[in-house]
Amino acid sequence: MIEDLLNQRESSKSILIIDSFEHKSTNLLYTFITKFLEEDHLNTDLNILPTNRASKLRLVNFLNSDSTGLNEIILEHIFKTRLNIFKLLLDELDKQKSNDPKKKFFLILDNLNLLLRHFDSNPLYLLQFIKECSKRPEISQILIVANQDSLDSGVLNQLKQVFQTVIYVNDTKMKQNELNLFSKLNKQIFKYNLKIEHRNLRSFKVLTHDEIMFIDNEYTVQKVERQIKIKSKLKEDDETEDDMLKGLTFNVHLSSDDLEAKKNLVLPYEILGQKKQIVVEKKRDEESKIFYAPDERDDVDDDDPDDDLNF
Amino acid sequence: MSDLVQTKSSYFVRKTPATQSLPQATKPTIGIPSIDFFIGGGLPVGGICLIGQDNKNYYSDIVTRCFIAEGVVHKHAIYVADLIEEKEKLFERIPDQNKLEEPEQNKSPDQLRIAWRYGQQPTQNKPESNAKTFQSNYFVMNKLMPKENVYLSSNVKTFELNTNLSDQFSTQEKTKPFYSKLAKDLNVHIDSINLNVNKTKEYNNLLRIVINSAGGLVWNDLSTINDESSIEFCKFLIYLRQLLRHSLAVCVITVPNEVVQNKDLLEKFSHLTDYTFILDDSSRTASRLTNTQYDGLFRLTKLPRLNSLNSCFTPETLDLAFFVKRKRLVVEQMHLPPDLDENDDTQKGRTNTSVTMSCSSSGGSSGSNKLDF
Repeated sequence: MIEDLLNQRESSKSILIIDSFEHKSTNLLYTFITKFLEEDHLNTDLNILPTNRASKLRLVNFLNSDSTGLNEIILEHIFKTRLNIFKLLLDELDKQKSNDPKKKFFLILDNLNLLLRHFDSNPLYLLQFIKECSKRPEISQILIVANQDSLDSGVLNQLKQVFQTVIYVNDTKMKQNELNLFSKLNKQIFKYNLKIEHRNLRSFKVLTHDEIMFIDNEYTVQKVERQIKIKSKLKEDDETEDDMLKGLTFNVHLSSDDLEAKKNLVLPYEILGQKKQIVVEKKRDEESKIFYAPDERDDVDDDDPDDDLNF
Repeated sequence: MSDLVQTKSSYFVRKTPATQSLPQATKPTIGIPSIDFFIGGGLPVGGICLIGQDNKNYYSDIVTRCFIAEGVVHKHAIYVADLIEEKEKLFERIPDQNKLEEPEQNKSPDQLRIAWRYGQQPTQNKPESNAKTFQSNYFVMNKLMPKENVYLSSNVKTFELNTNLSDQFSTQEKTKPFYSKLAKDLNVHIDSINLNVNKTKEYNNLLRIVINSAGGLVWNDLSTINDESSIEFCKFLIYLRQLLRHSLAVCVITVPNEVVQNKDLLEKFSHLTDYTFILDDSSRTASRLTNTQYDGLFRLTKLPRLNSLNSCFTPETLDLAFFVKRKRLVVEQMHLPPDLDENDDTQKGRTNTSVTMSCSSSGGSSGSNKLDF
């Protein structure tokens, strides 16, 4: 899945990368940018908030063409005037689009925590901005990085709803066998244990992919391992009769003759259920007689003992 | 005495046609037969149903889409307030109608030779077999309704939030949730389609209202961050309730998972609605249902008390679970599989770990004893 996202085989309008202080997503972000820059029609990228990663990226100065300074001036301008960054960004995009209507943009916002602080921790403008970007055809993709350690989990969970793809960076520590695997390459290898939740826009279903990705210091993907979790199902159907009878110490198997005899046997209560009645031929000619031999103690009386009952 | 005392009619007679106890056939259904079965056949006209979203808003999305689809089939008016998804994309995903499958027929009497008395009884209480009794339709997710059909058959309106990103957030007073705009828009819309009982006497349709992710950040509602902010949504619910009681409308509101996890919030919002149910697929629930066919628990936490002190309908059981089967959501009474351990002694015979009798201690420890059965 991660390779499909990188190569644009799987289109995702909005991607959120969630990392932590322990497992940073720096090189993963660079891999995304590198892959995107390889595309012919994409030759622009915007980094609206300065970070320590800015030096490795090409910046488009969206404020005015004269200012050559990078970080401090932009920051000072934005925070002093309390300008809406998103509005500035969209205006810049419109300006770029008017110069070249066919240009496509890949937006990277690094990172979400700073943006929320800028908007007094009110995620409203961010949500509206992402919605606005999803509508615009000239924006092919928007990618935002968020640090889960410094964000409220409730806020993050609600923000995730707006993104089509969410990538969690779970683990970046290499094991010894993994180091040995790439030792021959003579390159620095970075490992990313990723959990990708990708929403299918048609069915709205979120599919989860667990993958381990290895990239080198030139931001080329070396290897991707997919971890498939098998959901355990009910075991009733899997067990056959033979399995159940395996451990028994006496023979309960029936031969074919036994089975046939069992099938043909009609038990008394079955007759009731099948509404079959036992037909007994009555011989009308014969009358049944009762032969009674009284004991000494018996009081033989012809009267009916129930005569005294009043009903 | 009887001449002097004049019997008066009750002071507490409701005059609105809404929320009167309607026969089941006239209750607007949700669109999922098994859910309709457990809530008494459908939602009451003028009622509000609160649905707690699951973790990824997948199952609750199925419920709201089926609710809209049911409205399209019955040609009801539809009003959708969704600030996350575009209306064009939402109406492209409305499921289409499918014929209800006949319930599994019981085995013929010839097959049940010994237990023939059970052949006359149904195998399991299948709520979907009762769908025909309350005219609930049957929708599948892999078959989508053409968007044109949705617009042609129903009066469809969506809530448009015309906010501008250019508004300088620092100079304005802190922006309030958008519920007041929604409330005004709803009021105007109900009047425009003549479904306000107080203003018109001829009404021949019903309005189905869907409000998605209410109480969440997307509505500029900070309830999930600060409990005091929940008052705005409570006010909206009170207003909505009185509006719907005088309208021929039924409303389904979904709240985000963060609201569901906050018990106080959920209780507050649930108190102001008629029905509340939660689609619980949290990790804790999922771990309990690992070896079952179920995807989560269907928690019916509130039933309506309309014109009475007691709830007018109570399902047979509240132990319900849901799963997606053949592209449709099914809710049924939870049946857990038997707890059979793999190393069960009854299946494999006595093992070495079992206790052997003292007199056979020498032979018993060597493995399964042929005399044991």
